[in-house]
Amino acid sequence: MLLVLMAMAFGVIAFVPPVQDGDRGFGVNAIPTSLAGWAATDGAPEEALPRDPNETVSFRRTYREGDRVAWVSVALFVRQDDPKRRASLNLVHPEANAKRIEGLRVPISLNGTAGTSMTLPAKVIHAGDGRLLVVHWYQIGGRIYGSEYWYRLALLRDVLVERRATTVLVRIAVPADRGGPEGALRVVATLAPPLYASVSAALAEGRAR
Amino acid sequence: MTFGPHGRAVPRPDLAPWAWLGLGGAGVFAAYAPVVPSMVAEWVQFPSLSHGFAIPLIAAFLVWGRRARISAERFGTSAIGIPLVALGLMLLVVGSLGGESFLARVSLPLTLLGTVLYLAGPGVTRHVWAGIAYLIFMVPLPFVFLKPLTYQSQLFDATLTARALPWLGVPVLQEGIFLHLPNISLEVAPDCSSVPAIAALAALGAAYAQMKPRPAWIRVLLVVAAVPLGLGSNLVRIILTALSAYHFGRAALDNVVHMFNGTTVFLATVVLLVVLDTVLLRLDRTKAG
Repeated sequence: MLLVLMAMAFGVIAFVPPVQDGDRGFGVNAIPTSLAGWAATDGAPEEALPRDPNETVSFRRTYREGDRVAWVSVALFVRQDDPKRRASLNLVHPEANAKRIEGLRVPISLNGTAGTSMTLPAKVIHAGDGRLLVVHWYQIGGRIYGSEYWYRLALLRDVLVERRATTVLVRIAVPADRGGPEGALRVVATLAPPLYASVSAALAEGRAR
Repeated sequence: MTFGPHGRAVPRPDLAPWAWLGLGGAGVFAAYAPVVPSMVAEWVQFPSLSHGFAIPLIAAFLVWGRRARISAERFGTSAIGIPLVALGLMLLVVGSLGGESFLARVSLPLTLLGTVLYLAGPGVTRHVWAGIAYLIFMVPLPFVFLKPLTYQSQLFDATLTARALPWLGVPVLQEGIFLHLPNISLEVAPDCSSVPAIAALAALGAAYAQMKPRPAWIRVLLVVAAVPLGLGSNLVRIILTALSAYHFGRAALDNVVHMFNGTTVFLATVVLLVVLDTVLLRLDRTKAG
C-alpha cells in the first residue's frame, strides 16, 4: 500500500509534462501610447523600474502631462511552474541605494466603477534626495493580485488546474518630490484603470489566438 | 541480547520489521530524490542556509541517542500512518508540479513520520518523532516571507544602532538604513540582518535543548529564546562594527568578524544560550529545593 502510494507520487512528478505556454503574441498594444490624456514615449529609466532577466516580453513607457511624468512597465512572465522563471521579488522595486522604503496600501478602482476598489501595495522609495512612488500588481487574465501570497496561490491553482503559468507584472512609478506621495497616488489612480483595461484586452487577445 | 546505556538488557531486534522499515525509508528517499538536490544547492549557495548540512546529522543523532529504547519497543503497525503518508505525498506532488518548492520540501518529514508510524507502530514512533520533526529546520523558509521581515529588521537595527552610538560618544545621522558617521557612511545591508538565519537559530535552540536531560519548561524556553537572542547578538555586532568604523575607519569593515557575521552571531547565540540555560537550571534547582 505504502509503496504503491510512493510509486504513484513519483510517477506523477516524473511523467506529467511541464507547462508549455508561451507569450502568444502578447503585444505592444498592452500599453497604449495615450492613457487618460497622458501621452507616451518609449522607454523608462531602469533606476525607477528595474529590468528582470526573466521577463519574456516587456514594454516600458514614459507618460507625460504638462510637467508631470509617470513611468510604466508591463512585463509578461511565462512557464512559471519553474520557480527560476518567476519575477524576482528583489527587482519589483528600485531598492538599490534606497535609504528608506515605506510601505503603503492604496485603494484603487481599476475598472473605474465606484465601490469596486481593491487594495494595491505601494512603496515610497527614498533614494538620494528624491522620492519615488511605485505601485504594482500581478495580473492573470482579468484577475489582479496585489498580495504576493494570494498571487502565488492563484498561480499555483492555474498551474495545477489549467496547466497555465503566464502572468503579467504591471508597475507604475511616479516621482513624489513635488506633490508628495498623495499627489503621486492621484496620478496612479488616473493611469491604473485604463492600463488595467488594455493589459486585460491584450491578454484576452493572446488567449484567443 | 544487547545492553542499553544504563546496562539494562534489551531484547535483540527481529530483523524483518527493520527490513520493512528500511524498504519504506528507501521508498521515501526515492520519492523525494527530485526535491533534495535543489535544496542542497541552496545550502551551498546561501551562507545563511548552510546549517542545512548539519540538520540531518543532528536528526540522526537524536534518533541514535534513543536506540536502546527503540530496540526495546515491540514493532507494530498503525493505519494512521497511511493518511499521513498520503497527505505528505500530496503536498510533494502539488509543490513539485506547481513550482512551490517549500511545500514539496516541508512534506518530507511528514511522509517519513507516516512511514515509520505505519511500518513500526506508535511505540517506535514515540522515540523517533523528535528526530524526524527536527528535519523541518533544513527546509529554507520561503523568500516571499523572509524579504519583508529582513527589511524591517535592517531598519530596526539601524534605528537602535543610531540611538546607541551617541551613548558611546559617536555622533551619527541616520537616513533609513544608512548611518552617517563623521568619517564614514555605513549601510545596514540585507546581509547584516539575522532574519535569513532565523531557521538556523531556531534549529540551534532546538538542538541545544535536546542535548541533555532538562525539565520540559526549560527546553521550551531555550527553543523560544534562541531567535531573539540571535537577533539581539546581531544588533550588538552591528553597534560594535559602527563603533570600530568610527575609531579605525574602513579596516573595521574588512575584518573577519564583519565578513563572517553569520558565524559570529551563531557563536554569540551559543554563549547566550549556555548562560540562559545555567540561570534557568539554577532557578529550577532553587525552586525544587
